[in-house]
Amino acid sequence: MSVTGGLAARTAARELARQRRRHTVRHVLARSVLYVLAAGASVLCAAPFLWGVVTAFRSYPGDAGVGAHVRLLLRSTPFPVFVANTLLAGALVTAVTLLLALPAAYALTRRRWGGAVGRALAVLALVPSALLMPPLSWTAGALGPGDSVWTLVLVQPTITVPVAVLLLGGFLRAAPADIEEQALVDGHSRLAAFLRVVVPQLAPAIAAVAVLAFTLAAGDFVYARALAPAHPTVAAGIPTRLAHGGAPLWRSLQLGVVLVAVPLAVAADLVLGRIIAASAGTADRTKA
Amino acid sequence: MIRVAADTAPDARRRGGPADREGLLTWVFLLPSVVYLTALVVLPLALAVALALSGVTATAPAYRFTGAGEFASALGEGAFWRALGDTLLFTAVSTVLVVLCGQVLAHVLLARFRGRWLVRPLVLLPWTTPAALSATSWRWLLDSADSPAGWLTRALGVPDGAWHTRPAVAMGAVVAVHVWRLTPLAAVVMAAGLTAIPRDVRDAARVDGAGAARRALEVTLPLALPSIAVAALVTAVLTCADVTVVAVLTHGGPGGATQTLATLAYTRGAEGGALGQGAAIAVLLLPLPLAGATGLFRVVRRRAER
Repeated sequence: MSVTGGLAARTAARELARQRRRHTVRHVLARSVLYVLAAGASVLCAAPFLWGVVTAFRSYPGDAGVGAHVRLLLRSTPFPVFVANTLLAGALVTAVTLLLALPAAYALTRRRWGGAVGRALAVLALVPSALLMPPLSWTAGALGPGDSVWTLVLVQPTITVPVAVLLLGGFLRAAPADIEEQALVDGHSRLAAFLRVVVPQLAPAIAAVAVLAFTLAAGDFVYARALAPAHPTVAAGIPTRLAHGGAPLWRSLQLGVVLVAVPLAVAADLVLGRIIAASAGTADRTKA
Repeated sequence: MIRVAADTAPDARRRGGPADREGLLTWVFLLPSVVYLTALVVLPLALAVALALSGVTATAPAYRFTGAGEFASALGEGAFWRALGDTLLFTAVSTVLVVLCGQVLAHVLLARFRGRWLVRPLVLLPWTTPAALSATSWRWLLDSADSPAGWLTRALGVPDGAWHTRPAVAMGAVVAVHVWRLTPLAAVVMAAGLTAIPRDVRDAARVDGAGAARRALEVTLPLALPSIAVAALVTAVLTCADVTVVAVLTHGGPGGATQTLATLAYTRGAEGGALGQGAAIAVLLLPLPLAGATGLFRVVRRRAER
């Protein structure tokens, strides 16, 4: 009895240890695969920019090094002007986008026919800019402010507003409605409830949409190139005005691209968890 | 306390000013966006069709109706059909590759590991960097003979810096940049789909003794399928209508081998000044993103019904 009992216990213990070992091996394997994938994805995603940094720091015959590249970029090219144009247009487009999209998203999520309007917005978001460019450039001279940053402020929200309304709608549906209801019960008007309760409650979402809107505006090439050729943003200016020179200029350009790319990616990373949560309609589970 | 009680009486609220009238407020809230999008998207769309039926150019901007002449000349051109073929090819290949790479990246985005504070912004770079700048950067990488890309093209038998003179290599480069650019966005969409899967569903499958492969294939995949479809359709729409990558990377070359409908419309309309012809080609492109949008609605509606 006791012998078989001891045997059973020993077998069970051995089995348990074996399973634990197998589990550990599997765990280590899964973690290694994850780290390899993460490292590979980082290198691939950053590849052209990494190469830009590498070439800027390498020394070439007849080249004065990375300091000279930065000086060339900032003093002898219109890169700073491009950046200023991008910041001005991007900030104003972001402001216009939020002013238009916030109330619209609020109105749509509170109405039963909001879904149909949302679908119409999605269609508008998918209209290619190549199709809108000919009529817009045809009328820009006659009606709009002509070749200026203001034309971009007028036109670029066509890219951002539909996306912003859809995304803010996702945030609003996920937000608890009871605080707002309580404000109404406490005697606030709908408008006051929107301004004093809903908007402050949405602050993190507004930050996320602002980052997205700025990124989309800065990323626009078609309108910036066609409608404001004399006042280019970085996206229109670098490839069309600067990407023709020799290798030293190209090495400076690559640094310029990295200087634009890194802040945008860092800003997007800060709000990524919220964007994932809003598109999933769930709580934020990706926070670090 | 008494004041609150008085305020909560239903008639107290109904007597409120315009700020309280829900119907009115809805319209006041919606109107700016509706007016703006009508003026700058819907009307220009109609105007694009009108321009396509005219011979308007940048140097002769007066409107004159010429009927379907621009459509006929576009449809009679070999360049149009070649661009249509390239558009479909780039879109199909990019979409498949983006979905496959995006699935992997979605799991990386959601996983917790050391160093992810560095990995996440790096992985977002292709999505957040203006495509025109990324394409400029890719050109530099592909042109550099002593770069990893240079070693790769040399291994393919292409002389240094000549990748854009070979149609097949140039087309491969365009697809590669599209896949690179859109994978992070697709990964974010699919990551959203993965987080929406209730944890207990997967835990239940694990308790029932389903292995990792079976759990991925029979539990996660069917539940993640709608978000995969959304990611694929968004990728397809963004690829088929994109101007920037081709315009900056290859400028449609060599000899029109990488020209798509969108870039052909853009080249003729914006750079060539033939606004009528550009509009006609862009109108002929429109069915592709519209088909994508229709597919998107089907998927989203089916998900809502479930």
